This record gives sequence, structure tokens and C-alpha cells, in this order.
Amino acid sequence: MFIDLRKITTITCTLLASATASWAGQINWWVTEPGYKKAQELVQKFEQANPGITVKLQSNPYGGLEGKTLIALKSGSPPDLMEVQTSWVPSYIATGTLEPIGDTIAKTTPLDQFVPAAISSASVDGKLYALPFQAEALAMIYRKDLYRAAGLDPEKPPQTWDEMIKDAQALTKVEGAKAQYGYGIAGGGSEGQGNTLYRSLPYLWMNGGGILSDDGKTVIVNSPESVKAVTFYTDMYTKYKVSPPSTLENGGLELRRLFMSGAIASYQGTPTEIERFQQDAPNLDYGVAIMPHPEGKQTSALLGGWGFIVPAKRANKDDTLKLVQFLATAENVGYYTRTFPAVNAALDLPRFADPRLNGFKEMLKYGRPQPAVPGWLEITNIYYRHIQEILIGDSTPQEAMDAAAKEITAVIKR
Amino acid sequence: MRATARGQGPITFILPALLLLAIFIVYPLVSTVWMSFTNDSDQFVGLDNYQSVVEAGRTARAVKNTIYFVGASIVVQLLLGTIAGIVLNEKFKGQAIARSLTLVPWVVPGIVGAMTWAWMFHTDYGVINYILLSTGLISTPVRWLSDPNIVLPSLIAVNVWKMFPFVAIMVLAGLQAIPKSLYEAAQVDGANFWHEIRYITLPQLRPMLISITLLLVIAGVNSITIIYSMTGGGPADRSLITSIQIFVEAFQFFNFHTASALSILFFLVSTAIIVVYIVADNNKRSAQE
Repeated sequence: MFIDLRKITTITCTLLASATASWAGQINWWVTEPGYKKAQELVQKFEQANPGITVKLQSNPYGGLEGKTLIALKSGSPPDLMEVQTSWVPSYIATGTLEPIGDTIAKTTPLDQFVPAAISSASVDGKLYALPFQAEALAMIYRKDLYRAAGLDPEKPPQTWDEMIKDAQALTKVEGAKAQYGYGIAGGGSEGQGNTLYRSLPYLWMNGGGILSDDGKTVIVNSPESVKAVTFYTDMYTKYKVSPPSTLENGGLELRRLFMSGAIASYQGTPTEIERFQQDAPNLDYGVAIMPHPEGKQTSALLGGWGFIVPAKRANKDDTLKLVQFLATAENVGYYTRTFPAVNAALDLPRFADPRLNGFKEMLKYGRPQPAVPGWLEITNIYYRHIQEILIGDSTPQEAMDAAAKEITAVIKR
Repeated sequence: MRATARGQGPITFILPALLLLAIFIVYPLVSTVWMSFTNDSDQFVGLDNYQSVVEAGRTARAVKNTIYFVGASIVVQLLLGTIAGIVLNEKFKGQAIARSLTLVPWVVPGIVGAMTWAWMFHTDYGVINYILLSTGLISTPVRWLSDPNIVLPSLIAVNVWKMFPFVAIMVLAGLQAIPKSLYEAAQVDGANFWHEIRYITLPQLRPMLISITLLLVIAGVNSITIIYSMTGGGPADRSLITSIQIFVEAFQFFNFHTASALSILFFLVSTAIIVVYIVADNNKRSAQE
């Protein structure tokens, strides 16, 4: 019932101190659970090439990692290398505890060979504070068999918003208990906030809107461009009803289940879905296309990704930087990433050769990072709640976005 | 010498316990109070944090939801739990099996139960809508967890499912402590089953039910697991309760100072409710005697 940061911090620090007590020649490296196996192999190679240096791996679950890393950084005795989402990096830079590693990375791979948005999202004042290894953007995944059944050409997925609505309406058939919907949007679910942001914010960007202006100082979520995009997104559920009744319970995971069962004909998915389809539904007849955009405008995507950070003031910094140099090769970045590599050259590796990945590769070019402002998570929570207000039918898009703008302005001013 | 030993002995013995109490209860409490009056740079800001908490629109909604969720849960839990306890106290074939099966929802880990219910409640692939649709009881799917008017009742149902076995078992224990002679005396006087329940069972269970109610209030206001894992407080805060608001404010937004202010308010209100409840109960009891 009582929340006390200091108590938690003290206890965590004690635990961390014991877990990461290190000496020269040993590097403590925090990885996430899904990366643990591959990290072990990389460590083996690195230790062979650098006798005298040992690397101790610690595997962390995704849940709560953002806060755990922040506490570790503030505790004063963090591990030497940590795996984090690129979008978290700005808030870590703000603590003043990170080592700029741009020069170190450039010794291995020139920075202009990285996905530009991945670099810019982890930089402040021209200094790079993370080694981005993974970058991904969502694309539209659609069922070719359902397209054919609805009399649409499966090789010509929609390009514009108008075409998208038209196709989605043609694909929607509701007859009693068995229903099929044209396009599933995200509006809730267990990871609803992030899932809805990744799937709706690009529409605002495509149309020249957004949540915040580029400098992060003005709220533009209720500008005409933004409201029009929000209307387009929510209309799919409230007006055209091409998104299923469960929309307010659906995030990425739920949408994938509905897609595999044929309850929705298309949705926005991540590159990891391809692996999941191979495992759970190997005969699925699907295609991947770019996200439709407003007539005469460009598509857009919210760039997601992961990178490694190095805390400053560590005894064995030189060893750690050697490891960073080792990890920054196109080959190792391409090996470790779980979706796409943040280094362009790595895209030529055989593991990224599946032609169905082309849609995702194309979207990567339009990827934009999340704004690097303090309180971003709180701001997106406000945005998410007001999107839900529209979906449950209690506000019009204009009313909801005006209310959101008011709350977001209060957060920015704090 | 003996006198000194006797004088200092007790203090020496309770000192470790007092020390633990001070470290784990008094210190966090005091420091939460302190945090609620300061900002990120540890400066005293008076009631600013409280003001921003009270002014936030979601606080009022969360309080309303908490009262609804906890109140409705407790009424149904007590009703269902007491009935189940009385039934399980009767002798019938398979009584032992029935008693153990009743406990299952309570023993299942909260998160597992909640996730299973969330899947069952899902509008499009949930088994509940599937059964209702295929038997023709409803013609369009019910949005159990996303219709603003249905989401709280759905969550209350899950909370009741989870906690009524606890009430049942406590009631069962209470029933077995009632002396048989009371019932025998009543039967001699010609009492039937309903008379026994009304004039012996329920009055004898009273102290037990009062403690259970208090425990249910505390469990209810803190029931983060079920709601957080099933709806996260959504859609649009329609199922947000105060404890979740505190959790999100502190551990997702890292606004520890406003979160502290909110917990202090929450603590004061819960304490007030519990004190009022105990005092009212004492008055009633002394009036009866």
C-alpha cells in the first residue's frame, strides 16, 4: 500500500552491488531473456579473441526492465553493458550516467551505415549514447486467400486511405456467429498502450500531425491534421465497423490470433509475426505491404528497436568498450537482432532474405523515433485513454483530442 | 541485581521486534509522508502534490470505481460465501470432495485466474460469448471487458469467484465452533431450519463475519492483480481503481511524489472507513447487551 522509492532503491542497490560486484577483467552484461542464448555464443567468441577478459551474463525479463535499468543507473554500481529499448535511452541520458560511445562504435562501423532514426533517437547534442542493434517498423499484413474470396487482387494491396477503407469494407462479412472483419485496429489488450501508440501515431505523422511538435515544446495532438488522422483510425471501428467488436481488447497478440483464425483479414504487425506464423500456422497464405497513406502523401512508421548502453565511471570501461567494438560489426548486429538489424549492411545476411520481409524493409525507411521528452510514457498514456474514449463512443475525435491536449500540456509544463 | 535484570529484560527481548517494525513500517510510512510534501529535488512544496492529485480528473473516477468495486464485491462474496459455508457444513455424500473443490479458485494464483478469465471474456474468441451466441441467447457479442457499463460487473464477478471460497471456509470454521447444545435446545422448543439459521447460526457467526468483512475490504481496495492484468484500468479509466492509479503513477510514470500524496489520502480514507465500521459495530453490540 505504501510506496517508498528509497526503501526499494536501498534494497535493490544492495542486491545489485552483490550481483554486479566486479573486478578488472570482468564485464557484467545485462541481456534480455530472448537474447540470452545468442549472447552466450557472442561471449564465447569475444573471450577467445580477448584472453584475460571474462564476460558475466545476466538475463532479465522484459517486464519492468525500463525501471530496473533506471534504478541500476542511479544506484551508482550498474552493470557494464545493458540491453535497453532505444526509446528509453533519452530518459537515461538525462540522468547523466551514460558514456558516449559514438567514437567507439565508429571504429568498427561508420555511423552513417546505421538506420538514421535509430542513431538520432539515442543521441543528444551530437553525441551517441547507445549501440543500436535492432530496428523495426510495423507493416500491413493481409490474408491473400480472403482477398481472393472477396474478389480483390491479392497482389494489389491498398496504397491510400480511401482504398484501404474500400477494401476493408469489401472484406467485412458479418453473418450470425461467424464473422469476418476487414481490418483490425489496436485499442486495448494487456499491452494496449504501447500497441495502440505504434499502430495509430504513424497515421497522424503521415497526415502532417502528431502528438508533439518536433522540438517537443508544442502540443499538436488536436491540430486539424492530427484530428483527421485520429478520425480515420477510430472510424474503422465506430463508423465503418470494419474492425471487430473486440477492438477495445485487442493489442498485437490478440490481433495475431484473430488474423490466424480468419476473423480479421488484415492488421499492422511486426517482423516477428513471420516467425510466429511459421510455427503456429505454416500454411497461412499472406502478404506484407506498406501502410496505406493519405492520397499524395508519404507513409510513416514508428521506429521500434533495441540497443546497448554503457554506464560511465566504471572501473573496467576499456574492456567494456572493446566488447562494444566487437558487437558493432554488421555480422554480430545481424546475428543478435530478433527482428531487423540497425546496420544496413547486415540486411544482406541470408536470414533476412525471405521476400515477405520486403514490406518491413520498405517501412524501415520511413521509420521515425518517438520524441525524446521527459514524461513521454505519461503523455502517451493520456493519448491512449482518449483514443479509447472515442472508441467507446463517449467523445468525438475533436473533443477527445482537445481534452488530451489540455492534459498533455500540463505534463509538459511541469 | 535481580531488579535490574527484571527492569531491562523485557526491553531487550522486544527490541529486535521493535527494530524490525521501525525499519519496515515506521520508516517507510514517515518517508512516504515526507515525499508527499516535497518535489523531485527534495524541496518542501506544501500541499502542491495533493492539489494536483485531487484536481486530476481520473482521481475522482478511480475513487468512484473503487467504492463500487469493493462494495459490490463484498456484498456478493459474503452472501455466496455464507451460503456455501452453511451448505458445506451439512452432512452429505461427497462432502470432503465438495469442500476441497470449493477452495480451488482461492488457491489458483491470481494472475493465472485473471488471464484465463480475460480469454474467456474476450468478445471475439472468448468461450462465454461463443456459448451464448451458439445457443441463441444473444444475437450480437457482448463486450464484457470493453463496454463501459459491463466492465466493472465482469471484474466484480471474477473477484467474487476468487474470494468467496475464503469466506466459505472461514464461515465453515465458525459454524463448527457453535455448540450443538444450542441447536438441541432450539429443537426442543420446536424451531425449524430457518429459525435455527436466523436465531442461532447468524448471531453466533457475527464476530467472524465482521473480521471477514474487514479482511475483504483490505483485500478489495488492494486488488490490483485482477483488474490490472485483465483491463489495465481501461477502457478509458472505466475500471481504474485507486490502488492501480497509485501503482501506475509511481512505477510507470516515476512520479513518486504525487503517488505518495495519493497513497497518503488513500490510507487516511481507508482508515477512516475501518474505524467508523468498528465503532459502529461496538455501539450496536453494547446497545444489544
